[in-house]
Amino acid sequence: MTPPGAGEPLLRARRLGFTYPDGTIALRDVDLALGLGEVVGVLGANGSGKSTLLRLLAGTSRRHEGSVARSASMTGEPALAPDRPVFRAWLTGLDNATALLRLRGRRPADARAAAMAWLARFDLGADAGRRAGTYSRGMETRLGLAVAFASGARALLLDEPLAALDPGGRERLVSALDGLRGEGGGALLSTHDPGFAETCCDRVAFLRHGRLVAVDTPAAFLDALGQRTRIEVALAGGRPYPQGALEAAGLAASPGVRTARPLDPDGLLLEVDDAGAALPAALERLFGAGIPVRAVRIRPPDLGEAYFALTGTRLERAGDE
Amino acid sequence: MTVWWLAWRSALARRRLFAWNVAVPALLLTPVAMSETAAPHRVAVYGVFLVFFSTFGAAIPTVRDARDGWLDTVFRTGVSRRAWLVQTALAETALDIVELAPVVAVIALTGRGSPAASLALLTGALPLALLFANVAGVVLAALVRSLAEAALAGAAVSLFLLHFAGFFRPAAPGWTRTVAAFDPYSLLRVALEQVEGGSSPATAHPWWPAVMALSLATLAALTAGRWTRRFEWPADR
Repeated sequence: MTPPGAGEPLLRARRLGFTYPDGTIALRDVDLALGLGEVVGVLGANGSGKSTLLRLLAGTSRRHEGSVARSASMTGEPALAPDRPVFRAWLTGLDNATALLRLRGRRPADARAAAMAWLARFDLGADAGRRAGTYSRGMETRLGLAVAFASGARALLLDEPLAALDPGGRERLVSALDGLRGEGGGALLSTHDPGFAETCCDRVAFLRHGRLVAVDTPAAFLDALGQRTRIEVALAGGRPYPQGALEAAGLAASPGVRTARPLDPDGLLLEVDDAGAALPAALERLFGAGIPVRAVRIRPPDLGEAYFALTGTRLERAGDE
Repeated sequence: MTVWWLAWRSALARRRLFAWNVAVPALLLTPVAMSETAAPHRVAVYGVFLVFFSTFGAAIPTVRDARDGWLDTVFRTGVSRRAWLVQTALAETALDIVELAPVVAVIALTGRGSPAASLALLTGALPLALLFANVAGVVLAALVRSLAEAALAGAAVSLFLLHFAGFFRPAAPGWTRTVAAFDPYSLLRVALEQVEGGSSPATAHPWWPAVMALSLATLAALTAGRWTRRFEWPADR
């Protein structure tokens, strides 16, 4: 079996840039490739340029800088599933999907059969005959994903597909992505979820303020962080000033704690070598300072921290700066 | 023919809107057709209504579809812009004819002209005028930034062409008469006057308006790849 990403890439962006008509720079000098059988995650906060990157790769605008090259083996357009897909509200989900597949050149009967099959795979089979205008946000997302996967495009561009998906929808997406990989297709998806990117993506790209900061495998990013355990402490009473709590308890100097920083909105993140040794001392300091604790979670490092380590900006805050 | 299919499917899925589009022209124009109003005035009212019906009916939904991202969704499938324009204009023209059929029948039956004139209206001048109005509406939608601007531009362009077609007063000798001879709505005016039993002669060259209307529609189709970019993401409307 060909390893993911081997061979000529399905899509390759070179020095891709985009400036909105009002002068806002959305993307600058992005070099990124989507290989065969590969799922690439694009991680970044709101406003980091993820959606713009996906739209440019889909070829929806000719007003960009740089270039997007497509593999010669790729026929037809890449399929883009936007974060907020647009449908004809007065047509049924099945009619919408069938129409969009027919517009891509599929024969009517083939388009309808493919639409029905993929609607069923995304658990919309029973609702296929309902008007799309009556769908919930999550159902619209699933309809958009069903259309993208049913399109037969080898390259899929999925913009924040997890945003409105329930756990069942998430499982179906993972299964569909696995199927796409197996068929030699590729997907580039944007997400805010480091956990999903870590488990489902072959490579991850970090975007910040329209620039590509780093691209690598999730394992490589996590290895670079080291093996220190993370302790997340949720403060009770909705304390809005975790920095104050951090300083009041002197957690940075607590035994076994390597680093300590606030975690929005009301938490603390401690990096420790041995959670069993460091946690009791840290809790003792917090209680001693009169700071109540709501919950404690011990976990390994994640891609959110890798993003922080490389950009100096927390993933959950980067777009709000 | 997917765009054609989609336009019909959409129209038939919205039955109440379809019924309104049949009822409103009938409610507005039947009293005019049944009244003792002078024939030239009736012709002017018919002309304005029929042309506005198709121009607004094309421009306003197109602006809305561009703003909400539907056209971007359609163009992302790789469908040809030219095919999209041609099929959309033909489908919407056919729908307009179906929706206007009752009121056009009333106009034909209450007119004092010959059955041949009514037949000419139904089969030639009206479809041609509605097709041109639909294409003009879509092109105008690409030039404006809002629904209000679409309505304003649609009204201004339509009234300008209706004026030069002689709907409001006969074209004066000289350059206005020359313009009128090429005006895409001239045939509609002549056909409506003949349905009303008027003595207005046909234009000097009855094919010129038809050639002009079809030439402009063809030009719009040939250049669709360029001006439909206004409908693409990002909307800088």
